[in-house]
Amino acid sequence: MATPTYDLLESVTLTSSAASVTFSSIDQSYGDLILTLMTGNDSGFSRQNYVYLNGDTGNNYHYVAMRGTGSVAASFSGTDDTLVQAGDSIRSKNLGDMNWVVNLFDYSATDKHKSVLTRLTNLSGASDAAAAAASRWANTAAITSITMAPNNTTYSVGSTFNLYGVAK
Amino acid sequence: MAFNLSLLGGAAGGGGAAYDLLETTTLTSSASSVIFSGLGSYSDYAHLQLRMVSRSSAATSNANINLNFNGDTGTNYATHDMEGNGSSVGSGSAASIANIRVAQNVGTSIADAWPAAVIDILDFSNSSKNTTARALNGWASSSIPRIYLRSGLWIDTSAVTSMSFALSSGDFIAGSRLSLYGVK
Repeated sequence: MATPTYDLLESVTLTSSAASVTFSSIDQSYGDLILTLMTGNDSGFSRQNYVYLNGDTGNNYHYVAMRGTGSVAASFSGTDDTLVQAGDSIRSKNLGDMNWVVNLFDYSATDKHKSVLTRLTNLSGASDAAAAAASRWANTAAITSITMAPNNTTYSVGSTFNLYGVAK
Repeated sequence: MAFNLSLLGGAAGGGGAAYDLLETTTLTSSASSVIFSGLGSYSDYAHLQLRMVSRSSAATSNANINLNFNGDTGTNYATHDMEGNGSSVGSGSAASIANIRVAQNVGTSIADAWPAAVIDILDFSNSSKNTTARALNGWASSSIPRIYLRSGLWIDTSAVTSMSFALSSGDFIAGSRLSLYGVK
């Protein structure tokens, strides 16, 4: 018997600039989470988009990413980082928003580190890039909150953040 | 509240639920393969999506996750991939092979990482097209991290009625989870 399973848990559309957005008290009854972001920032420049799990800002995140810019394909990685690195910066609002689809697997499990797969795209019209990344939070705790924050700036008005639960 | 969605996470409102959980296998002991059979009963769905978190029992840092359709182990498959290893991006392909190398996995050579994959099988019940699959897959480890985009082809126009997932090295260990969804 099929089970309807892709449920909207939380949704935020900014009506004023915000330094961060947090989804907390996340429902623990699903298998995976899918986070979608369509974000710009107010700096006028590219800025990294930080994602923290359970408020953990320690050196507990690992990542590998690849991206193609139309002329160059590159890959980079990091260990013992302080955030879920998705491999690129969000663009400033005037250069166009950036979209992310972030998959967080077995987020409520307490016996394994958390795996994250991300697809993201710059929509700037300049410095366009398509990218994908794998990340790991080196912690077996269930994910109960997700905080997103641009580096040293604010998210611009109209940025959207949606969190979905996928049943297992 | 249930929402429609397009493949790989896009969501759209309106209508009834269009993305349904069909089956889940969570291993309580190791298994050499995981098979989803009886897929003909899901022919009211257009596409299938498999979401997977798994590890291998072998002392390997990179094992293929091989996909076979309808029990066909002939050399009727092809695969393409793009891989990021943290320092460079590469691409590979293979044709006339005995399965789709739809994703990659790790074993005891890589501690703590649980490779994940999202695999889409398009038009699986269509009997006039060869069957194609695509995947986003990867893991982040202190050594040998990988991110993949992969695609595969089964050169057969039969409707897909079963799918088998097996590793090229070792067994899926306990705790591995494979969840199958239908997309209308």
